[in-house]
Amino acid sequence: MEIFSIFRFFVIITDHFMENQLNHKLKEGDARSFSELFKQTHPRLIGYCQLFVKNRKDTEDLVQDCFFQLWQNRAKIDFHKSVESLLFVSLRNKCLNYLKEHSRYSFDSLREGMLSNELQYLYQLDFIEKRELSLEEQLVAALKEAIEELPDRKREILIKNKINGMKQKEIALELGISVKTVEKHLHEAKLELKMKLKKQFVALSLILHLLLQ
Amino acid sequence: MKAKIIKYLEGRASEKEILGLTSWIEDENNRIKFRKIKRGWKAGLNDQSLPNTTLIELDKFQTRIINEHDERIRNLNFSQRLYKYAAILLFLVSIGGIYQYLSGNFIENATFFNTIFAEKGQISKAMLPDGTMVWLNSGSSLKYSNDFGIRNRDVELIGQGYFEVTKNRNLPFVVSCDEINIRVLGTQFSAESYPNDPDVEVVLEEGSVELFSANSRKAFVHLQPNEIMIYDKKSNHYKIVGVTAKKYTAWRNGIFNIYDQPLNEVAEKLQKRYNQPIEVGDGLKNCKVTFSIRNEDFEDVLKMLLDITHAKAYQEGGIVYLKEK
Repeated sequence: MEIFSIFRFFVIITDHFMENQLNHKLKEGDARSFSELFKQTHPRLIGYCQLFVKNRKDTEDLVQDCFFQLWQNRAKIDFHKSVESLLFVSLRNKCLNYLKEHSRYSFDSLREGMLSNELQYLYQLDFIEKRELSLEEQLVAALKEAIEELPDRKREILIKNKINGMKQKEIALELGISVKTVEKHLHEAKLELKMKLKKQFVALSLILHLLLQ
Repeated sequence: MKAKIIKYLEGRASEKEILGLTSWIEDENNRIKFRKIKRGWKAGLNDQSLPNTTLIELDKFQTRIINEHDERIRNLNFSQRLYKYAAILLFLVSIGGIYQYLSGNFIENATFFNTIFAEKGQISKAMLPDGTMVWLNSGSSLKYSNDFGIRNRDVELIGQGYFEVTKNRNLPFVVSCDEINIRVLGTQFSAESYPNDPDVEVVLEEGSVELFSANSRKAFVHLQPNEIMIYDKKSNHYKIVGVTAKKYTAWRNGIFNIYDQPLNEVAEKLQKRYNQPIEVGDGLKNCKVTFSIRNEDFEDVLKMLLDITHAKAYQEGGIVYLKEK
């Protein structure tokens, strides 16, 4: 056991040292190092992205953007942070935003949860060295959070209609308001939800920025 | 397990293999082994084992890096560009004038030659009588006869030229540069053969070209778009490499792209472009640089080079010396 822990220490130190050197070169804008990093991580990043984004071209573009953003922000690269994990987190957020924009929000997923793609955990363990929430779970969480933030009346009506499955007429009766008002609230609630998720979109891209600082 | 890990790293693992690896890697001790294998794989990585997509996307990425540079510079130099276009226009008008003058005054059967030059430090653009557009890089020249466009479409190139050849099935367009002749019907390509360079380079952007040697009419190779042929004048050997042609032809727009090249080669190119002898110290010769410039003065380029290489420069007897700090 003793020997193994020494061995482990050695592996980690070597990795750390090599990463540090690579980060130095990337920070300086060394094109060759960027190419190396690209070759080392691109196949895996494509593999991860494909789990959520089915369109081949979109997959390639999302991964491409990750590398390009890293290039543009290279001056901010931290010597002591793994660039691989940086790329991964950036891609994960892009996938999340992509899903937000492209998949219809199914309110069913709030009741039942979404089925998580089991394949994503290997990529998590590889790139960020820990198991975290699946992308699907994060997506549902983001939706829940946005609903929580709606004004009381709108939230109430949205939940009754979309999650509890009540008809507009029933809601109108229960709350003692007109069907038209229910309709209006629902419409506005959906609009607000859309806006909120878009704002989260911005917040998520900020995460990359913060990581880089 | 090692084979499986490598398959995963190269993006070739099946779903079943990925799931198998996932449960294996949950164990922290295995994760250490995984890191070690990954490190070994990275160190011995070769292009053949990577998916095609990765190589194509890498090429896109490199082009994007260069263009990003370019974008910034483009915004800076609007007024300079205006002067350049004015100069090109003037040049076009004068070529047209000379051609009309000559074609009106000479007896039809006599053969005489027209030559277009690009002064050192300049890029010239000209239209040949058949409508073909030619860009000549700094210090290059192109020669053609008055038969051009009637009996033949032969031109002689010294230096570097980019051609947008007008289609004409009956008269092939032939560029001769040193021992290499390039025959095309209608296409876009760039050829480079400076007298002091050891090789001739031909890059194809669109269409197709045939290459044959000066003493044979039979083509020895057909180039496909995005291929470069490099012909070694001494050994008569040639090789063909797949490239992004636009990177090699960007010079015609005044863009000067250097991608990960050693400083001594870069200095030679700058020497041609700015007509300024440069000497690079031994310690810097293999220092790789990447940049893109458009219309900058030599002083600006030198400043930038010093910034990215951490070198110092001084001038002596008309020669600029770059040395390690």
